[in-house]
Amino acid sequence: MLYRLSRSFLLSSFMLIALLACILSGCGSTGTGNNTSTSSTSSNLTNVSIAFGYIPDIQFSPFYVAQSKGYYRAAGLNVTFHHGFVTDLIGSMVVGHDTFVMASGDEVLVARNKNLPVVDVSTIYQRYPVSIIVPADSSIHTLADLKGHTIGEPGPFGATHVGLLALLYHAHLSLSDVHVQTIGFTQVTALLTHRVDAVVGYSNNEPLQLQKEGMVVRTFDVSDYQPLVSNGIITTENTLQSKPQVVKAFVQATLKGLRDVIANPQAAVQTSASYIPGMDQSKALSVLQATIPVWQGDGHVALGVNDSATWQSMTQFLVASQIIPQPADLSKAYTNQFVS
Amino acid sequence: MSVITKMKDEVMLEVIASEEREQTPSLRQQTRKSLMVSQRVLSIVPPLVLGIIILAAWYASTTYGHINGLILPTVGEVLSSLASNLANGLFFNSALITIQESLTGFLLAVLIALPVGYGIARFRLFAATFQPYLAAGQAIPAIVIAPVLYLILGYGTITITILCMLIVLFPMVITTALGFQTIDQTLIDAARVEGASGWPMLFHIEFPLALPAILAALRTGLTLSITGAIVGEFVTQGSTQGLGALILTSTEQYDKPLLFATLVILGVLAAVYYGASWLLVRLANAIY
Repeated sequence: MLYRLSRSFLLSSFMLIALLACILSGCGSTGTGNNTSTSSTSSNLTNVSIAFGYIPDIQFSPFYVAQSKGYYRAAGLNVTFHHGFVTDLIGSMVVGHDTFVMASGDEVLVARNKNLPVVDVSTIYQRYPVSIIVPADSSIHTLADLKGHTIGEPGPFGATHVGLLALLYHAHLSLSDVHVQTIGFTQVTALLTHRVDAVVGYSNNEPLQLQKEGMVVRTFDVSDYQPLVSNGIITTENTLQSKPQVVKAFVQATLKGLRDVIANPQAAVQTSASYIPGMDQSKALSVLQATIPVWQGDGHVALGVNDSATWQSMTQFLVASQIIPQPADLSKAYTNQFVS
Repeated sequence: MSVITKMKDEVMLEVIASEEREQTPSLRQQTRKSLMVSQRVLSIVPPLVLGIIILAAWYASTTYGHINGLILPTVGEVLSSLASNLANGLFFNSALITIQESLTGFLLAVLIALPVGYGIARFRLFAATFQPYLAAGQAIPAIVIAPVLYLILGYGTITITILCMLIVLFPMVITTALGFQTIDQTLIDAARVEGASGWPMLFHIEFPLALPAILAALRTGLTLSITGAIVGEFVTQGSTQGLGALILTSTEQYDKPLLFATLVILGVLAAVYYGASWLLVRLANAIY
């Protein structure tokens, strides 16, 4: 009896000691979140951070490559990446948690309308990557065919929602003409199980997943119907005015990384592996190869440049859809001074 | 009877009695041993059989059924994900983060819950003032508090730790208050007659008497703290580390084997916590 008691006593005491060891080993760390910046003791590097609003992913490989090849350090910057879902990315930057964020042009205009003084300093994605995805055998062949069907979207927020609105606007449909369901980030499962007739997703993500699961799909790409300014590097007017050299250094180094990734996607996948825990190499490569055309667009605009025509077309759509009122001065929302 | 006969009889009685003593303890021991064995068998075999049946059904449905791998991965895929991520340290690092968050949150909650529970039990004004806020605070879901905390505290596990603390706080306060409230008043009065009051009263009389309830509170808090840490990781902005964040990441990447493997690790961790909470009980038994 005494022998049995001491054995379970030992086991539970081992567990408690193990747990305590875990907590004590963490006391030394400051827990600053996923900090993948190069540890720098040099005091002449400026500390900056960028929030991506998403988990570590191959789509951020230009940044990973720029970090890994030392472009940021060479430009005098000590860059910290903040990953993870953040609902109000721009608000979080304005409060001071980040120097830059990665967000789309429509988010910039919505934020400026709320008196958050932010500026788009470089557009990385020249194509808006959002698409409506339908099974290849679906009865939906044109945008107008969407009428009366169910469409699954992650939620009434973000680029997918704006993309959906843009496509409906182009087809002269309103939200009440279709049945929109909030399905979170389960688009692939929802379409595979035919829970919905169509889903809204990213052209470099969900279609690839669906094809991997054996479903052939067709996509309606927003960029084919309604020009919208997609993801870019956003900062505050304050940062832009007080530290323009920092902004220029960050943009230039990132664009250098972007060019490297486009030139050699295989190497970019290798480099990014250390930034993305649990990355599947082949899957990352196929996503990257689908993303490069999104970054390049149709080529009439150089990498990283903010195209005024796209900004104006997007503003027209946002105003017509009553998402924002006409902005007082659109040209203040973006700049190309750091790109060349 | 003569003295010698009496002595002989007594010795004979002794011998017979000692023989009986030797026989019946061994019979008692045998019965006890067989009872222990059957209890052991009962605690291991039925759950094991059920586990095997579930695993077999899972294997059969994924191999012969038409269940898509995105809904339910195969047993083999989950096991291989489990093995490879244990080997490359992903689960260990993630579990370490979650354990740190949950234990820190739990300890913070203990530091607050014990005094607050005592205050609610002993001081009516204190109870009247703080109880509504405690109850309201518990009703507010973590997902609402999280963005506010993030705006104030920014990135880092501190936000998750605070959320974890908030989640385990209320049950611990209530149980602790109950523990102090249900102490036999006559014992308190007797101690007061003896001259005890204030801190000595608390440490030597009230605390040991309330200890069973306090231990129950601590055990509840410890077991709940892991849920608190996982919920915290789910709702906290910018969280990418820890087992909860790993669940989010694997869902986002459509990596269902990793998701299921993470759930297995979580289950093991919860069992470890439960085992550790038993130690608290034994410690208290040893001290008091």
